Amino acid sequence: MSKIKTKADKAEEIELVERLKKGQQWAFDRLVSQYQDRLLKIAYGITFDHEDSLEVIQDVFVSVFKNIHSFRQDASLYTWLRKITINHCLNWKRKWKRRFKWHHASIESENDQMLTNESKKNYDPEMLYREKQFEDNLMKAIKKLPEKLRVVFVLNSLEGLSYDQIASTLNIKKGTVSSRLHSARQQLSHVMDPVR
Amino acid sequence: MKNSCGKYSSEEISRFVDNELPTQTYDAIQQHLSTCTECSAMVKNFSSLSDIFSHHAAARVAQMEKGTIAKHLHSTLQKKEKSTFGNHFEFLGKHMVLKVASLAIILMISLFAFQNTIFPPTGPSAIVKSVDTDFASVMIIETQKKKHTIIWFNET
Repeated sequence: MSKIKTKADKAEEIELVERLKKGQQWAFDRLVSQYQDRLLKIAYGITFDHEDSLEVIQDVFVSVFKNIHSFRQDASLYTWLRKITINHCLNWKRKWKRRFKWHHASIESENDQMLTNESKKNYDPEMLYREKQFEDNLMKAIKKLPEKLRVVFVLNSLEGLSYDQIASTLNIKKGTVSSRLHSARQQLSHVMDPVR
Repeated sequence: MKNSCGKYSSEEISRFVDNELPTQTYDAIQQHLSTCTECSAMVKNFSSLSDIFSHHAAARVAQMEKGTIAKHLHSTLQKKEKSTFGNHFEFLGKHMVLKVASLAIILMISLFAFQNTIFPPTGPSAIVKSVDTDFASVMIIETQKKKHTIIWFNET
């Protein structure tokens, strides 16, 4: 049953790609609505910024529009989109102005807003505060991770990719994926220790 | 965070969390976890890092105003369409200009030719013989270059 569904999905994707290659707006609308959330999650995981994530994904879709003719369908459409997104995020990170902003931007205000939204769910305020504090510390620690470690951590945590898939996406060895992921977890755990 | 247990390294625990170990090692660690609080805590810790991060990122994405993405793409598509139309028009326009220009040049050359401005007539080099009578006039003329003979006759 799932195999049939997979075949149907594949056929649907092939048709979507054909329509994208013809430049049909309907197809691009479909592409955006279908993939924007997953791609935004990756972009946010790497950039840690609302506006920059949106800008990166805007550029990703424009890039898809410009380069769809070079997409050979060797891999799935989403795999291709994910690779473009990671490249855009890493290029974004290399822009020094943005990097300055990235290093100095505060997530306090965003977290305050999150706290307000979460408060509506009638949780115990003290428990909620502790959870938020834990989350804030973790996010700050993730932001401080070196880029190489963070990208691997993002692909593992947000996309649930296997070591082989991460290795193929980033053109690195599987052993490197394992060691980077382990290093990321160790650094994050060190930060989390005093809170625990 | 150190793993004081010593039986398994923290990298092995990390790979265990990701299910990236050989089945035998995976099963052995699974069994070990039931008795080792250190390793169990590490597994829980490593897993929770990813869970919290994923939840945080999903919540942030849910808050984003995503309409701008589609709008931006639409404007790019429209720009492309306009430029394609413009190119076609320009393409036709260029040809039209060429056609009109060619026609104008031909017309101008023709006009000049009629006015004997550009190509002055190659007049006779000499009147070889001229006879005028009461009834008619006859002239024998020779052209300049090819030395053709022209006989001109006119009744009076």
